[in-house]
Amino acid sequence: MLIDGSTRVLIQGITGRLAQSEMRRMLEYGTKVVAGVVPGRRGAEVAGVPVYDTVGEAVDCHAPDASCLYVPAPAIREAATEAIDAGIRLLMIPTERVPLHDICEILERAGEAGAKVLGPNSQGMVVPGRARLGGAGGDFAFEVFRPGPVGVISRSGGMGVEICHLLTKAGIGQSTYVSIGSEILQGLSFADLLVMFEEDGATEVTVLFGEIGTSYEEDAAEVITSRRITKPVVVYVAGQYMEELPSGLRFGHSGAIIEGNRGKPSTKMEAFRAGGALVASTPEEIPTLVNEALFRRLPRAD
Amino acid sequence: MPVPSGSVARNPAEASRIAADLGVPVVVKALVPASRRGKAGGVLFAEEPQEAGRRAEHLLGRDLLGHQVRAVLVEERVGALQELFFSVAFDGKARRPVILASGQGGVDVESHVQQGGMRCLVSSVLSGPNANDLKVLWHSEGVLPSLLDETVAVSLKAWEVFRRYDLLLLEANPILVTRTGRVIVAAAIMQADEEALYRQPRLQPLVDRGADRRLGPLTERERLVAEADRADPYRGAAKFIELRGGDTAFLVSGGGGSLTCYDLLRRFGARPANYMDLSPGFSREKLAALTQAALTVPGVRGALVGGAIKSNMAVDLFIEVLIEVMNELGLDPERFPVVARVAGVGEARALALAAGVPGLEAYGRDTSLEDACRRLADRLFPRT
Repeated sequence: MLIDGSTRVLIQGITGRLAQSEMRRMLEYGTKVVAGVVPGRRGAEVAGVPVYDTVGEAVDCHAPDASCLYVPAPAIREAATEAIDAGIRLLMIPTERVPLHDICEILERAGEAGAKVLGPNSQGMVVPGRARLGGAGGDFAFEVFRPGPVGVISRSGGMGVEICHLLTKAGIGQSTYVSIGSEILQGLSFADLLVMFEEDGATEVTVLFGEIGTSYEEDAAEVITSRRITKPVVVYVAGQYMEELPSGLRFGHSGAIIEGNRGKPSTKMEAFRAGGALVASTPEEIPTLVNEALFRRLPRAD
Repeated sequence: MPVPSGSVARNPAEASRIAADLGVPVVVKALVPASRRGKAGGVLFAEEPQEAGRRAEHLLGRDLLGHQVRAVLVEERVGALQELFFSVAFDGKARRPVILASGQGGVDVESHVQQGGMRCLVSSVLSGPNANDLKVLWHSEGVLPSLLDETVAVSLKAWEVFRRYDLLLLEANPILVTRTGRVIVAAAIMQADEEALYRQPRLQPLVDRGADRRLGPLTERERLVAEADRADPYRGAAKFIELRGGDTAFLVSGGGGSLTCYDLLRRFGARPANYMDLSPGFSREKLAALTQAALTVPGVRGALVGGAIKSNMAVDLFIEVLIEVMNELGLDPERFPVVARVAGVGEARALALAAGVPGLEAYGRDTSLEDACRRLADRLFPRT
């Protein structure tokens, strides 16, 4: 879903340290990285990939479908606007600490252009055995991910990989893994992706890793409750014990905060249960619940 | 924006003098960075200068909404025909700034919000709210037609402030509509975006960084980490929050992995004494500051290190720095149990380093977070 082995990938900020190590991993995984952009570095090559001054030039020569933006926070608004204006329709933004006004501007421009945004603070995505954007799974991607019927969406990059690994160890493969970030404002959300997984032929069950803070889980529960999707959903919501701490504390991710009554894991889990999702009490329970859901979907032998 | 005339006093005599200069009944407001000051008793009225002094005396030095009152604002009391509420903040579902407005502002606006009595206007962040939409909105909230233009002008000004200063929230309440046809912002709350402070020189000295938490002033250890973080702003973000009554140093990084480990430790009976976060690209100094801070929180008797599988930060440095800091502090892992779950990049080296230190238990990606947390709890609370 979203990408496959034929997706042509552009890397903005290709000469940076993180960009280079993640690009190496994308190439190792068989992803088609076709070009890079760094203003003032036209004509250079990084690991055999040609570098251009502007996204426009790179688009003219290589027609990329997606861009990974390894660009520092103060420059991300300009870089993303450039990609959107040049016609790129999938942007992966791993950058953290982006000013919220800039995120909002990027999302509004992307929305008007019909472009999809992963992140900010996304660790990218993986279609096991086909392609990955970003370096999720590090050097162990072949061991962690394995093709199969489960879509995985996570607000946390680390836990997303952890959950795919747990599934793989239990003999359950993944259709697509997506790291969406955990910011106050973000591009593709749980709700958007649940609908996309519903339409994705390769997916039978979707797993969500949610967190304390924001209303993204409640929005996702609403998609399930309203029967906009029919495929089973398994969820884990982290931060359950954070409710014992004073509200207003922010836990790592910019969106991981309880404000008043908003953002409580207990409320989120309740909303999921009410909608009929299977709620895991620890991550290790996820493969068991996924197996249950898969079993229920098996066609009956008549 | 149009505001009541007045100025800031740091002692009662100053407050009386300001009131005398104004020559009208005044309001004395405690200057603390919190909302709901009126409800909390931080906004008082005075008819004449002596009374203003007494009000200031009453407020100064007091603890209000978690902050000590060090100054008060003495300003003219403006009689109002109507009190308005106007706020701008971001909405995650709309992915846009959303304006909330009401013709019934003032101290009781909260209950009004809960009754759903707010007008809501989703705006374009790029082009801002439409003046005509605001006019219709304020008209429906009972603002007199003759004052609509002025009210819209003040609203647009508030929007401009929201945008220019990169605010997460701007809340003007109350905006007073006076008998003489003036529209005056009598109080406002601004919430700054720490991530945008680098380009907001006017806000920098006003914002207590690292304090995106409401537990009062930073502790010594929290300040240490905040300083290390600020010294090198683009090499990873280090955050450290001390929690009360904990027994476990929590050296776990990665937002979701940390939340999960926190839950698991609590499930098994241990209690983290801190919360932390460290993002990729971090410097060794930041990690050392965090390690030192976590291991020295009073009451700590063991540590959990590492977290979920790391794809883009090396875990071996966690073990290297941990061993170094434990040596410096004279902590012996045989008596101060440490369990590390170091998975992902640098895993093999991390495990090899830990193997050389008796009592330092380290596990890789094949051991689950759950098993690692259970193991630490077992060592902290051995069954007799």
